[in-house]
Amino acid sequence: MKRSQEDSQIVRLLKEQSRPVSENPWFTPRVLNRLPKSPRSTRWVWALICLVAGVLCLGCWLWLLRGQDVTVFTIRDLYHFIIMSAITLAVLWQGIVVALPRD
Amino acid sequence: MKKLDELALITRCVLADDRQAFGQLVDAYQGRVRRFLLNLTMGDAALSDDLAQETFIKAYVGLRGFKGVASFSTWLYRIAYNEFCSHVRGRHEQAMERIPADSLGVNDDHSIDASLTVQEALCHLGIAERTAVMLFYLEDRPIKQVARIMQLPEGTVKSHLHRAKQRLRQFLDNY
Repeated sequence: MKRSQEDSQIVRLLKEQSRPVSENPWFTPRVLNRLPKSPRSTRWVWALICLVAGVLCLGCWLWLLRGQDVTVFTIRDLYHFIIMSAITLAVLWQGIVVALPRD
Repeated sequence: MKKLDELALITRCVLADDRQAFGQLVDAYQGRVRRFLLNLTMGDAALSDDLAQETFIKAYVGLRGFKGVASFSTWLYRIAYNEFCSHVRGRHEQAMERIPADSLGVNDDHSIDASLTVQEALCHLGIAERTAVMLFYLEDRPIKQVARIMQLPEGTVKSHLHRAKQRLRQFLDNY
């Protein structure tokens, strides 16, 4: 639908008389306070995912450390360690977030 | 807010029940939703804030149902519009549809300014017409999105707009 000159006039008048919304710093905290409590099932599913990811991480660490030659440490090994550390930290962080009480 | 950031926040809300992420979404959209409702309620700030709060709570509860077909803001506006309609229905507020002109402080002399005349004219529109006008002209939304928000066919929205324009023209011509 194309806008005519009359439409532009309406837009101008409406924008002129549009009521300004006052700043309300308490709006978001109020909404967050009124949110219903989360269903437990969701948290359990997420906790289970974190647990499985944690076990996988542990397995990967064991596999990585077993195959590690103590005398030679290559750039590739360093790369593997950095990636594994990042994944483990992310899983641990998510596990902590799920374990912490919400309210 | 970028669409990707918005999606990331929605995912965090759905998967991890991350309320901080939802807080960021509320921060990003509260201004627009409150302004939309303020215009629909013809300037009742307290009522529009209450309705906006309900809108965000309903959005949070129904976030899993958000398919991403329409944009998040369109989805929010639809909830806000439904919330406003159920408020009007619930309180049998026919007066909301046609607020008497004198309640706006409009008197019969023709010295009133154009802005007040537009307000008065808007009061004489039905809810659907007023919503269509607000979304199309004030929020600058295309007809397709207005139709999605109001859950009406595009043709119906166009006829609402046409009727509203006729009434506005008729009203403004008198001044």
